Amino acid sequence: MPAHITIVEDEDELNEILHYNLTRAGYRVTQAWDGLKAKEVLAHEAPDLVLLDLMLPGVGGWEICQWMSRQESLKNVPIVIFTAKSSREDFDQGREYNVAGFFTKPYATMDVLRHVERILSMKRE
Amino acid sequence: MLQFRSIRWKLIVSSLLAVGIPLILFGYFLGSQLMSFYLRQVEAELRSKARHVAESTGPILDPRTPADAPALTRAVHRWKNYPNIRVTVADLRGIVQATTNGSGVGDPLSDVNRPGMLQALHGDENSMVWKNPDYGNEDSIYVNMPVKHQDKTVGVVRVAQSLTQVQQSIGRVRATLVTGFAAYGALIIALTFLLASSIVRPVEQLNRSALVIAGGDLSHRVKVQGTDEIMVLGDALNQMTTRIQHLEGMRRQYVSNVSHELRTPLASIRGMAETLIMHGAEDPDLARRYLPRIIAQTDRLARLASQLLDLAQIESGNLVATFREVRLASVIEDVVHTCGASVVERGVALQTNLPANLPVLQGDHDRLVQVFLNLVDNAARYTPAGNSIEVTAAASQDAVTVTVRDEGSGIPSEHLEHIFDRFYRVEGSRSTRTGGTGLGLSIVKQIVEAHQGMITAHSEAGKGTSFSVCLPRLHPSHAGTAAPSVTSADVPSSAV
Repeated sequence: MPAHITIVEDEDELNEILHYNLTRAGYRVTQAWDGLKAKEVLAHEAPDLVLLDLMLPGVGGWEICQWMSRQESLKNVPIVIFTAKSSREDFDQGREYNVAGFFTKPYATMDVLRHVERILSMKRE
Repeated sequence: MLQFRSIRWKLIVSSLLAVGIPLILFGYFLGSQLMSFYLRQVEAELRSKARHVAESTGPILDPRTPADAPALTRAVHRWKNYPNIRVTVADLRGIVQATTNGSGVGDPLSDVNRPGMLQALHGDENSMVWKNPDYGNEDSIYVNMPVKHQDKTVGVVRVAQSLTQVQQSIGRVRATLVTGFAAYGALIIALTFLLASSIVRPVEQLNRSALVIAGGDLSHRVKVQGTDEIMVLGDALNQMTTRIQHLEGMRRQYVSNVSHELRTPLASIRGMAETLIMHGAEDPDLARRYLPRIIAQTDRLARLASQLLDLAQIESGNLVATFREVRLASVIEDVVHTCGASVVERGVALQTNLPANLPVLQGDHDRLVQVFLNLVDNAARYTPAGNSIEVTAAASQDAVTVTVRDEGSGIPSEHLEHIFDRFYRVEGSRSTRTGGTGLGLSIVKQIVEAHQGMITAHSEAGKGTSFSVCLPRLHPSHAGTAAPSVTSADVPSSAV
């Protein structure tokens, strides 16, 4: 049973690139392009990991984190954050939720894949 | 040094000068007036005494009567009981005949020891203040008067009074005045010091606050108390700081947005290149899909770069550098020429419907082309193939309105009010398919406003969107001073 990863990213190409690479690496991947859709996808089936862009139209990334922390099925799901502007405040805010990593754009896709692998293997143990 | 140039010291020194100089002058004047008043008083008294002596000694001194030295001495010695009064009587020959203390009787008169008496002997009544060495060099006032009997000068009388007592009492008055003035001066200094402190303390407080704000703490505010000018200044400082804080917030937001807009295409390019390296060999379709998108993303970055440059020019106020005569028809012609092919390529028809008698405007041809190119390009991106975009124009007495209308899906009203904001985008997902940077409409609005025009947007879901640009028929003298003071009517002006 492959691990299930949900990508929440409004930039079409970034979403697709992550989807392509994660699928190639053998994961099962679901996608969302905005906050509302993300809630829908996550509520439908809790993944093993969420890749989340902070700057989303409508419902923002932190709002999704907060919402997830209140869902019984989602509160323990690790979240990897993508942001175009890494700031101290963002980093601090990440401590409040189950954030398992920060990547500042432009990130190396290889690093993301390795990080995802590490988190999921830790989770298995 | 600075301490003595401070407001406090300036106030103290100037109030001291303002109060002290008149006080000193007044004291000096009062002292001398008092002295001369006393002198006149004493002199008048001495004159009346001298007249008295002259009247009583006249018949005795008359050479036509027999000499009566004891009577003369009696007449003079009557004044012995008056303290400080000295009386000297001399006969017509100038020989002293009697004095109150009995000394010098028989001596001839001279101006060395009896100044003025010889003069009086010749008939001139006189008075003077003189230091008599015989009386300890103290100041005395002397009245010399001829003694007459039956209209004939028969001798001379001198009445003298020491001025020591007068001088002592004037000295006491002076001392009282000086003490009073000194106390008054001290009071003035104290009051000025209090006044200066009440002015200086809030100024120093303002200064400290200004330094804190200048040091970068924009959340700092001056504590405003009272209603005087300094507090008004403090209030103004607070307003200024609030404004700076607001602008600083917008600047941060702007920089953050620019960073985001630059990093996102870079992330796409990097991600696609990486994926090509990792999987390009085993998945030949990948290169066909990703390489054109990498090119599109670099185009997006290039467009962003030139739009950021436009924004920098807007900020420096020279977005529209040259106002010349502009033919709108030629502007629209250039727009169609530049983007017509790419619009048609999308399967969208571009129709222009311009009246023949469009007036000549004052403006910047290239910037106006940029405005309509952007509007047509936007319209084309959101219009499905098979539909059309229409550019129409209408001239009125003092303005020309150009409308770009599309048959796209329309812009929801909650987005419509933000579409001129920088980095605001209507589409839910950012994608290279529409390729917007979020800056285009903001720049369009700035260019239109630099022409003293205004731009409005109307949209109906499912039916399409229309942008109307209204450009005034500027008189040439009004051009050049064009300021972006007119804001779009139904659309709030964009932030930043």
